[in-house]
Amino acid sequence: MSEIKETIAKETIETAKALETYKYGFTTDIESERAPKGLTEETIRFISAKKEEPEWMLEWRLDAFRRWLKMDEPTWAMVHYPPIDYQDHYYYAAPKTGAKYKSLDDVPPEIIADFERLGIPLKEAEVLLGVEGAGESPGEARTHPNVAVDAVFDSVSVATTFQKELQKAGVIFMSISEAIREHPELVRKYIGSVVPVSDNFFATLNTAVFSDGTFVYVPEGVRCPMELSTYFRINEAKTGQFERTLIVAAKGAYVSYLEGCTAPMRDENQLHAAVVELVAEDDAEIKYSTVQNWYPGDKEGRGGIYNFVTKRADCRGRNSKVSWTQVETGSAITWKYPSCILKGDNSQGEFYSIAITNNHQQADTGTKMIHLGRNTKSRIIAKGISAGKSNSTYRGLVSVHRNAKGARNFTQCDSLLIGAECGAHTVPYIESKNPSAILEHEATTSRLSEDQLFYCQQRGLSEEEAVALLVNGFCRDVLQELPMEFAVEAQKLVSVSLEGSVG
Amino acid sequence: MSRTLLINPTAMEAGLLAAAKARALEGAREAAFEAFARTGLPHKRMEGWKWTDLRAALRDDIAAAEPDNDVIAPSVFGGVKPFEITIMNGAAEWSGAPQGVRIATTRDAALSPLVEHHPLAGLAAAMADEAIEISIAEGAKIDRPILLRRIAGPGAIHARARLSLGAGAAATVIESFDGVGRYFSNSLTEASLGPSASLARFILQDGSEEGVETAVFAATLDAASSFSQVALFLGAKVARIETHIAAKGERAKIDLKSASALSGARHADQTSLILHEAEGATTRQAHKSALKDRANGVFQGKFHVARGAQRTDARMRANALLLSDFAEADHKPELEIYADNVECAHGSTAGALDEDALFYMRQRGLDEDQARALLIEAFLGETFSEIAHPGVQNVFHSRLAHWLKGTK
Repeated sequence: MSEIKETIAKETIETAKALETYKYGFTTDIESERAPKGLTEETIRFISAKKEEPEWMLEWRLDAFRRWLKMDEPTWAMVHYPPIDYQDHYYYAAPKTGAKYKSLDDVPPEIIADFERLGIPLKEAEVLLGVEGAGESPGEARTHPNVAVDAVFDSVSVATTFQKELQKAGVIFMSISEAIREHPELVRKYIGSVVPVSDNFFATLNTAVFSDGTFVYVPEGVRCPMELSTYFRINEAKTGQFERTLIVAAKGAYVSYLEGCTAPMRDENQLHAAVVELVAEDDAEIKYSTVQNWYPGDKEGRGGIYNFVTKRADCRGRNSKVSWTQVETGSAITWKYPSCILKGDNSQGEFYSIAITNNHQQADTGTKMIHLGRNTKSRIIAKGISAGKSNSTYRGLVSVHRNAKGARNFTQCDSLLIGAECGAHTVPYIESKNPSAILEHEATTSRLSEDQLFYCQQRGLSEEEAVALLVNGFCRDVLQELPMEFAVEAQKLVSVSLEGSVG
Repeated sequence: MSRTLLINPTAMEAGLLAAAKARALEGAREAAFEAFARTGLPHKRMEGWKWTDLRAALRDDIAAAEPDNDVIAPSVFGGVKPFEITIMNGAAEWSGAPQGVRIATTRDAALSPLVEHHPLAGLAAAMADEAIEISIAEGAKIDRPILLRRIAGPGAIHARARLSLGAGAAATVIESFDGVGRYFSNSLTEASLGPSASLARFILQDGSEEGVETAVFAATLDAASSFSQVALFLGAKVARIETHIAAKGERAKIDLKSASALSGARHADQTSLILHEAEGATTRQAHKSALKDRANGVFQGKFHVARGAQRTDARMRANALLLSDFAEADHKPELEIYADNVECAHGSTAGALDEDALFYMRQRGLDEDQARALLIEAFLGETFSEIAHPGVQNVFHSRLAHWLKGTK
C-alpha cells in the first residue's frame, strides 16, 4: 500500500465525516453543452450527430427508442418511487470545452479539481487528460500503480489514461464513442449481443440515448498488464446518465476492470440507467468490480440517484469465467442484477455482493445464473445490510437448463438488520431441469449480536467503531474478492455508510 | 354485473364470466368476482404464478359439474374412523356431529382481504352456492379426526368452507382431494384459531391426469395457538395448494411439512405465505419433492415478519430429488423481514440420488430398483415421521409405498 493511497483513504474518512456521510456531494461549475430537455427522436439524432456516429448506430438507437415507447416500466422490484417524468430530464450534457486538450492549460481547472477530490490519480493530469506530448513516461506520474483510468463526466468520456502502454499489449481501452469511430467492426459485432435491444425497459432506454461509456477489447492470449478502471460522475442537474460498457475478452485473455461512481448532492432525483455487456470467449476470464457510491439522498430521503442498471456477461467460450464483485452503498434506489449466461461448457460465473442501505435507501439487487452448458459452475455470495428506514432485497435466479449436465451452484445470502425500522428481504428463484445438477441455497437474517458488540465496547471501541468492525467481518467473504485498489476503500465505505445508524 | 376487465379471455375464462353473468352476482359475490375478473385465471407472467400457468392449463371451457349420485368408494382414511363430511362436486353432505362440533351451511358470501384480492379465493367466494361452517366450541378437545372428503367429478367446481376453533379448542382435520376425469376444482377454506387453540391439518391430494385442483387455505392464529400441517401431494395435470397463515397473537406455533411425489406429466405447486404479525412466533417449514418422468414440482414459501414482530424464529427448508432427465424442480423460498430481533433462515437444495448411498446398498445385496426405492422412501418418509396419530401416519406411509411401486 503506497503512502499516497493511505493518505487518500484517511482523507476519505475525514471528508466523509465533515460532509455528513457523503463526500462527493459537490458540484463543479463548468459550462456545459446540453441537448434540449426531453426525449424525442430529435434528441437521439442530436446525440448521434454529436458523437459523429455511423448510420447503423443511429438506426439502432431509433429502433430501440420506438420499442421503448411501447414498453412498461417494471414494477416487480421491491422499490417504491414516484412516477418518473422521462421528459423532464436532459439526456446529454458535455463539458463545453470538449474532451480533448492541446495542453493542460486548456483543461478547465474545475474538472481537474473535481477529479482530485474524487481521488482519481489525476496528479498525473497531463497523462490522464491525453495532453499532447505527455504520456511518454506515465510511470513517473503514477499514484496508483498499474491502473489505467477512463473518466466519464456526465455524458462524455473526458480522459483515458495509459492508452499507449495498453496499445503495446494490444489492448483496446477507450471511450465507446471513440471505439465506434475507430473500431466500428468490433463494436458492431459485440454491442447488443449480450443485452438485446428490447431486453428490458431501462436497457432499451439506454440503447436509445447512451452517450458514452467504456470499450475494452483484450485480444487472444493477452493478460491485460494493468487493472482498467472507469469513474463515472453525474454533475449537471436534471441530467440522466446513460453509459454503456462493453468488454470483450478474446480466447485465453484476462482482464480485471474496476468501476466507481459518484454524483453531487441535489434535492431532486437523478436518473442513471447503464448497460454493461461482457463477452468471454474460450478460456477467457473477466473480473468486474464495482464500488457504487452514487449520492443516496439525505436523511429524510430527499434526492439521490435512481440507479437502474442492466449488467450481463455472456460466458460463451469453453472454460470461460466471469466474476462480478459489487459494493453497493449509494443511490436512493438500486435496481441491478449482474448476471452470467453460462453457455460454454465448464464455464463459471461468480457474484459477490455487499449492499448497504441506510436512511431511506432502497436496494433490490442480486444476480441471475443461467446454466446452459455442461459442467457449468456458479457461486453467489450476497450480503445485505439494512439500517435506518431502508430496505434491502436480494433477488436472484439460478436456472439449470435441460442440457446443463453436471451443473453446480452454491448460493449464500445473509442479511443483517440494524435498527427496528428497516427491512431485509430475500427472493431467490431456483429452477432445475437436470437431475445431475446440484443446487444449494441458504439464507439467513439476523441482527448484530449484542454479545459481540458488548465485547468490542468493553475493549474500548465506541459503539460506531464496534458496529463497523462487526459489519466488516460480516462482509469479509466479499471484501476479500475485491482487488487491493478497491478493497481498502470499500472497507472504509462500509463504515462510513452506516454512520448515524446506531445510538 | 360489473364490467369485465379481461382482454382476450380464453374459452374457460369466457365460460366463467358467462356463468357469473347468468347468476347475476350481487353485493359481496360481485365484489369477490371482481378479484377474479381483474386478472382472469392466473398465468405465468404474474408474480407467484411463474411456474404454474393456470390459464394455459385451463384453456378450454369446462362446464359446471352436475350433482353426482354415484356411490362413493370408502376413503383411504376409513381405518382411522373419522367423522366424514363428503364434498362431492362442491355439495357437502354429513350426518350428525361429534360432541362440541357444530356444522351448518350458509349462503352468506362474507368478504375478506383475501377474497377481495386473490383471484382464486375471489372466484370460489363468488361462485360457491354455499359455504360449510364447522365450529369447534371453546375448550372442546375433539379426538375423532374430521375428514373433509373433497371429490371432484368431471366439470367446474367451486367450494367454500369455514372452520373456527374457540379458545383452548383442539381438533384434527383431514382433507382429501380426489378427482376423476377432466375437472377444475377450486376451493377456499378459511379458518380461525382462538387463543391457545390447536389445529392439526392433514392433506392428501391425489388428482386425475386431466384434472386441475386449486385450493386456498387461510388461517388466522390467536395468541399461543398452534397450527400443524402435514401434506402429501400426488399432483394432477395441475395442482396448486396454497396455505396462508397469519400469526396475529403472540407466541403462535406453526409447523408445516409437505412432500410431493410426482410422476408422469403431473404438476404440484405448494405455495405458502406465513405472516408473522405478533411477537414470539415459531415457524418450521419443510418441503420435499421426488420427481419422476416429466413431473414438475414447485415450492414457493414466504415468511413475512411484520414491523414489531420481534423474537420471531422461522426456518424453512426445501429439498428436491430429480429422478429423471425430464423432471423439473422450481423453488422460491422467500423472506420479507421488517423486524431486527429475529432469527430467520431458509435452505434449498436440488439434486439426484446420492450415488455413494446407492452403491452402498447394492453392495449389501439390494437390486438397483430396491435401493432407489428405499432411498426415496427414506427421503420423503421423513415428512410423516412425527405424525402423532398412528392411523393417519399409516395412511400416508402406505400411500407413499404405493406410489413407489410405480402404480402412479
